[in-house]
Amino acid sequence: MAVRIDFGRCISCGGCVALCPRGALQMKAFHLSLIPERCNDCRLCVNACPVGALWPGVPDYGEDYDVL
Amino acid sequence: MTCFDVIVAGAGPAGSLAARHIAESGFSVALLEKRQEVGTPVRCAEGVSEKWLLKHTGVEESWVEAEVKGAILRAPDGSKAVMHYAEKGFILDRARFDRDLAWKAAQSGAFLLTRAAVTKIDPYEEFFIIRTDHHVHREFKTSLLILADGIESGLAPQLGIRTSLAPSDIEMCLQYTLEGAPHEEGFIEMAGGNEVAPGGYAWIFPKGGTRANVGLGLLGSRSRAGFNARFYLDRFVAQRFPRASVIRTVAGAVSASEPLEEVCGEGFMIVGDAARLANPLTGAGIGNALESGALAGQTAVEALKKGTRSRESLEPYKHRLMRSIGHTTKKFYRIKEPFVKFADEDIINMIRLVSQIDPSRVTVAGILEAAFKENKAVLALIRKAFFS
Repeated sequence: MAVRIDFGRCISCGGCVALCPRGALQMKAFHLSLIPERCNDCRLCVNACPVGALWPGVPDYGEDYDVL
Repeated sequence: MTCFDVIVAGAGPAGSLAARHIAESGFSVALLEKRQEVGTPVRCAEGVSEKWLLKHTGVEESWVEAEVKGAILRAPDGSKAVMHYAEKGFILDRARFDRDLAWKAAQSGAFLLTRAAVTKIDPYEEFFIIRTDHHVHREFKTSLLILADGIESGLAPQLGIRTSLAPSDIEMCLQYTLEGAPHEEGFIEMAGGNEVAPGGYAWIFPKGGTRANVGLGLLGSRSRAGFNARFYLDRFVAQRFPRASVIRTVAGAVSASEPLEEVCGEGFMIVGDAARLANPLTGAGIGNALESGALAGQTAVEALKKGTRSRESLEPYKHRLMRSIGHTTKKFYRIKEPFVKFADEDIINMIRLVSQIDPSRVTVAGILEAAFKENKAVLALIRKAFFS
């Protein structure tokens, strides 16, 4: 599971990048980017984001999980 | 591949100043900026003390949006204390300030490249290979590297320096530039309180007329989803300036930590916010960034003249930095720790005490002494920080 970025809300302040202990978030030239393999959904960034642009990861139910 | 004596990653105030010093000494330097335009988007409350500008850049009229001669401290119950600054301050147009500093570096002979985000650093025995990506795909070879990549500080980890901040060591900030926000001219206002900005403070910085930067910082460890900086700022603005329009939204994080342990190493130096040099108590960062940029530039020139890039030849940067701003920043960090734990009534008491002093005699040291009048250990720290 990895956090999700709401790009509609994100204003590229870089706070979460400085906060992430695993280097899972990076600031590209214009937007935030996530390296999902590095994220362990600790949610430090979700809590700290000043504009609420980060959301907790959703469980991965695999291919068998059928969305109704 | 293009070769340079020095590459500076990031064209903020620290990076631009370092690049200018190096270019003026006749060495080749590239200043790489990831954005398409230097200075935008702004991520700053834009306040700076005059002394730093006089020391490093001079003051240009076009940078100054308003002059500041003092501060109003506001308690959660609405009471206030006024302090007059010994030296005046400015509220800058940061976009213009940053752009002009970068242009000055370019005029001095630095090679300024925008839309060039440094993504990869490969260290070799005698040089670095730097790759830029996104829009400008190029490779550079350089013997010295100055990292000025701001609060994210994403490049230092590639050189083995750990830069991630604990949630209790970072202020998450949001700011609106408001039009139609009447405020006291010539004064900045800082409002504290656990309902206003937990572990931080809200500010009103005048930008001329009824325009003002109104923002707040929230300690990362005190922020919760749904109760984040936007929640507190919207509430603050609704109470204070219900009729104002938001003409700009600015977000940014400010480190409230000690400076990095290792600000230099084999062939590289780290400056400004990337080295965690903002004042942990007030969040002021422009002055310290300028100072670190100038010192890094000076040290780079000395090393290049000797034809070396070794860690030892760059160590003077660290020593000079610690002497000029590092030790003070560390002391402020130790004061910050008890400060962020303040209850509302502590803040009210502090402001009541300070309000009894003649405004022209109020100093930061005086405010802190009032704040910690019953805490001998912290008092001793404050006296050491300001009087040694």
